[in-house]
Amino acid sequence: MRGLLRKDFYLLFKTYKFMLIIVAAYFAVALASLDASPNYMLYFATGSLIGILPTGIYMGDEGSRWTEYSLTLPYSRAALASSKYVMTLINGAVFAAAFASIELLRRSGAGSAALVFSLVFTAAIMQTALSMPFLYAFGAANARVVYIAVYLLIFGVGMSFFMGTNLLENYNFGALSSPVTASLLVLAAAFAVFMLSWVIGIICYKRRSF
Amino acid sequence: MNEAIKTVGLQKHYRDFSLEGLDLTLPRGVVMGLIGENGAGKSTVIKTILDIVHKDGGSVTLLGRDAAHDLRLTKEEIGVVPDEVGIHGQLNAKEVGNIMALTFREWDADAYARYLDALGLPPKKRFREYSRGMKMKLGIAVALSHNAKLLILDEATSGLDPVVRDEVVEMFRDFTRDEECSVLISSHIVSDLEKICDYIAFLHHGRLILCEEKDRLLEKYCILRGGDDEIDRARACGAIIGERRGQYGTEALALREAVPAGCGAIGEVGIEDIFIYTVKGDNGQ
Repeated sequence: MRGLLRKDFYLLFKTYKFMLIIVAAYFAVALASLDASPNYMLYFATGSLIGILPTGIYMGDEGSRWTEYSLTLPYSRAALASSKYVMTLINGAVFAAAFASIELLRRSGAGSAALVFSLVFTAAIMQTALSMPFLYAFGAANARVVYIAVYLLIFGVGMSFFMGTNLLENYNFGALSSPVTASLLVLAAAFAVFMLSWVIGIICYKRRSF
Repeated sequence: MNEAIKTVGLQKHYRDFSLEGLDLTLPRGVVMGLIGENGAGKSTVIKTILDIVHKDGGSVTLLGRDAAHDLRLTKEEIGVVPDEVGIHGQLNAKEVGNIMALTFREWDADAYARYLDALGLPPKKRFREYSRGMKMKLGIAVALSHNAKLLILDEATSGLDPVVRDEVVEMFRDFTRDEECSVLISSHIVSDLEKICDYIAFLHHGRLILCEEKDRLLEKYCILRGGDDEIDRARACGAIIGERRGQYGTEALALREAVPAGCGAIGEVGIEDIFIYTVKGDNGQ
């Protein structure tokens, strides 16, 4: 698995350098506006951008025939399928923690930091969770439509939710005591979907012939 | 367990092609050449053995272990060079080495560096800037740098110029100096196989039509040249496998022992001749 992750991170820094620069720019903007109220839309956009990286790298794997070559290496199919999920978790956790730390710098409280962490992390894992089993089962070329549709869905839902609103003030969370609790519940649900997707992804990858 | 590879009744069915119950045994310490025309099923055999494509029936044993179990561990001891080395174009040979160091337990970084040097591969040049031959060479360097006991090469010498091909063939020969090490190599370039192989397997339309020791094959068969009447006489004795009639006489692949005395001129045969005549015979030509 370590070799697979090393390869994926090489590609992340080489192929998706531009996206990482955008994320770094978002981070700089957030850092520079500590006096303003948190921009949740920016955080969500960051998460959804990070989320497409592992799936994008997998599509590159198929394009370069790494998927076939990797099956000649001493990795189980479960490990090969899992590497993208692990990468998603690492990316999600690192970037979510980085953006959540801005909230701590803002001195807006641990609740706000938890909210941002949940937001970025949820957005970051959903692309993999919803599209990876399709990519594994049908191949990148055949499942490209699903990949794009999932991205548009996540991005569209997120943007319509956050655009022009202050999450902490404008939403009625009903029985949920606070937006922080709500976001943590959403994170838990997203994580459950992610884990289910992981299991399905492994099953699909085991069945696949290349 | 003295077999490096053993397949029993191996089957794979596609809409327009079937691998029909392949029984193939590669003893340890042996180099076997897998010869077949385009579409004969050479790559399918290799991919099925390695579980890149799932088999539809039969069994595969690799280095004495059932490939249905522990294939991951077995692959630690197998070096594979596929017909297209699937490395990302953005990576360079140095990075590939770093990846493989975390992949194989017995990765030998010094050996890898030596192979890169010997094969003239710049460590920092991106894979996508490599020629086809250089890409194959990088695949070969990886396959030879983790103390493998079995090499599986799918058209590994194609795309290489004759000088480099000769060097690579010499590397494979060095590899098999260890009696425990075996090689299965498929190639269109029969001359390469003739140089290094101990065994030859002919694959045709998904069926194994011949699998024998190379020296035994060269002993067993001969080229018979003569007039039509001489060839017909040899055929009547069951000596003719396949033939080619020309303006100035007929040339045939014949079983050396079955050719009656005074029946044309007997010449030495090459592996390519045996393959071509056998396939033509099988096609009913």
